[in-house]
Amino acid sequence: MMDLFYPDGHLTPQAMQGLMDGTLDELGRLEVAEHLGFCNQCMQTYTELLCQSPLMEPPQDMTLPVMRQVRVRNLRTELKRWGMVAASVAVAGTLWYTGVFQQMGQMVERDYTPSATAQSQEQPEPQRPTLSQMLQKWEYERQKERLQPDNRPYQLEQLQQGPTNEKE
Amino acid sequence: MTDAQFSKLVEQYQRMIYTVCYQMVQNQAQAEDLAQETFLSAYLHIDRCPPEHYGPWLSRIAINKSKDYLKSAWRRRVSTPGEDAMPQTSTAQLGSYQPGPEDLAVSQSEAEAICNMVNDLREPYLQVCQMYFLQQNTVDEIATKLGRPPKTVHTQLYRAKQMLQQQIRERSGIG
Repeated sequence: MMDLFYPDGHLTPQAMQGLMDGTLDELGRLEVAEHLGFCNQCMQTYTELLCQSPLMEPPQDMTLPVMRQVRVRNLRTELKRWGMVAASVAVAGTLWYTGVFQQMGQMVERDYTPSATAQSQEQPEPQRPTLSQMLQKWEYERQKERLQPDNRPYQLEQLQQGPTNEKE
Repeated sequence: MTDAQFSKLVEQYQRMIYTVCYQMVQNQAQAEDLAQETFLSAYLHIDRCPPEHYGPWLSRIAINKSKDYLKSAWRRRVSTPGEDAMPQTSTAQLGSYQPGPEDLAVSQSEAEAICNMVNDLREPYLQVCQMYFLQQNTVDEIATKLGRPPKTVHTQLYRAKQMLQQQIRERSGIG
């Protein structure tokens, strides 16, 4: 078996020649590949030998297949990026449409007005409404707006009963 | 780099890269796949490489792609159960057991036999195994002293263990 490596670990000329001739076995090629993967000196020697020898023609031109795959990869990256943007916009839009931002703004405003601050020094801090209480209140106000087209005051019981046929 | 420029680069270097891949894997179809993968990987990082170094840089990528292919093919063909289980040296085998003189003589001869087997290994395994098994160096120390990546040292130790196990089995007549 030919020596592929010098005692210092570099590739012998026999290793280089065997690689180029195709006479190395699978293990030999693997060992040479591993060495060329990190050794700049041997890599330099190998590329010089390669440039001096006739190069092989691939079975078909690679330019078109490679560029096609490049375009596909670029398209996937763009779609992923725009998909994330669209998802973020959809979530923000849903939150805005359902009035969550408005509710949050009102809560912040209520908690940080000077009167609220002064009162809170003497009185215990009012309990913040839970999300379900906020949703109930929001639903109540929506119903009120729907049932009160002419801005007349309604009693709460009437709202709970629903719209009546009473004319005034 | 624009796509048009990259396309020209592919045209310029495809024969060289295909030749490198074919010399490594000795298979036309596989060489073609690996060459295309080389260019796809290069596309992502092409702007980091100075133009005068395109040739060696692309060749290095091609060699690494081929190496990964060969390594997985090699592992599929040569899989040894319990590859991490190596015969211990005489001191490790003893543990808390108090050996008699005959036991010590046998263990010492076994240790010597293993020592000789390690010293008979060829490069690139010889230095790595001497430093690991006989001089008790760590993988990182070996990698630093020999100028090899730690991953390569791991791979070489793994393969050397397989070779030593095979030799031990042949000597024991199990082979």
